[in-house]
Amino acid sequence: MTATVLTRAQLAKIETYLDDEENNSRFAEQGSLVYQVFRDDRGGRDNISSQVRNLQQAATSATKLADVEDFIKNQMGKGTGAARRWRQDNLGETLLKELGELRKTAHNLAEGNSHHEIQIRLRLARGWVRSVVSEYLFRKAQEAQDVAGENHP
Amino acid sequence: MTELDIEIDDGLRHRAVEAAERCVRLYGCRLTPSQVNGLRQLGRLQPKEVSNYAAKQKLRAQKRSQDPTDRHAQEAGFWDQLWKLCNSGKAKDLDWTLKSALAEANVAKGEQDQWINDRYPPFFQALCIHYLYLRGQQSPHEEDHDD
Repeated sequence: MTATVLTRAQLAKIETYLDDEENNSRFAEQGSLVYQVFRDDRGGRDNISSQVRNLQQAATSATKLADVEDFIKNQMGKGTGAARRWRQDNLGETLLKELGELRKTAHNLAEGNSHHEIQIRLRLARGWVRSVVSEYLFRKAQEAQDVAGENHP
Repeated sequence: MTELDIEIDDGLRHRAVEAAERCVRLYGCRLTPSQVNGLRQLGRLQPKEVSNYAAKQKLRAQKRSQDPTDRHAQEAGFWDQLWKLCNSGKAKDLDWTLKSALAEANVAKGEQDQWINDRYPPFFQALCIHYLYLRGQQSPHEEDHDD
């Protein structure tokens, strides 16, 4: 019987990877790119792009990393305006490449246990999406603040 | 997390992506998004019907084709590849098929339908999504309005 629960050491390594300065700064750059591409999207009461919200939702509800990759490819493959933006500035490719890196990292952290590997992938993907979306939200908030400042000098 | 989830997230997905890339390499992106989405839906709802559907679509495209290099001939090529994935064993130009995977899995006769129902939907989903993704790269300005 294969142990399917991740060890504390593995959980700690996942957190360390996600918190690593270099990785974090790369995730922030990706979040910044997401903001650049979807900054003009207005969705719902909170003005958050539905594309960004859906990306986050895809990661939250995913049962495997492939679900997140499929979400991005699916958006890029549509013949709509949103698809053009996913392809703009290489956004979709950049995010897919990062997911590929997360796959490799999960492989290293799982040490040959495929049950662990698939769980680690998912945890890494969710942590990554959290960072990317946080940066997008941060920039969105900054923008709102700047606009408020302009309106009330 | 089951062995099946692992198989879907790894090997099967990799094979589906490879299959989509081979089809595009050999025959270009001749299918419309509606056709691909139809295939994806069939793979999800009636996986055992994919093979018959591919055969019918191939015949239909062949009838329309006037020239072996026209878009209908290329479309027929795509459906032929798809039919082979379901029905052929390994061949010189095809080192893996769903049929060969089923044979290698040594599944008992009574459980073969379950094997197909478990694997065809994620396989065709990954193949279709990757095909549309490649199509989007090749014709980035084309709008399809069917989503």
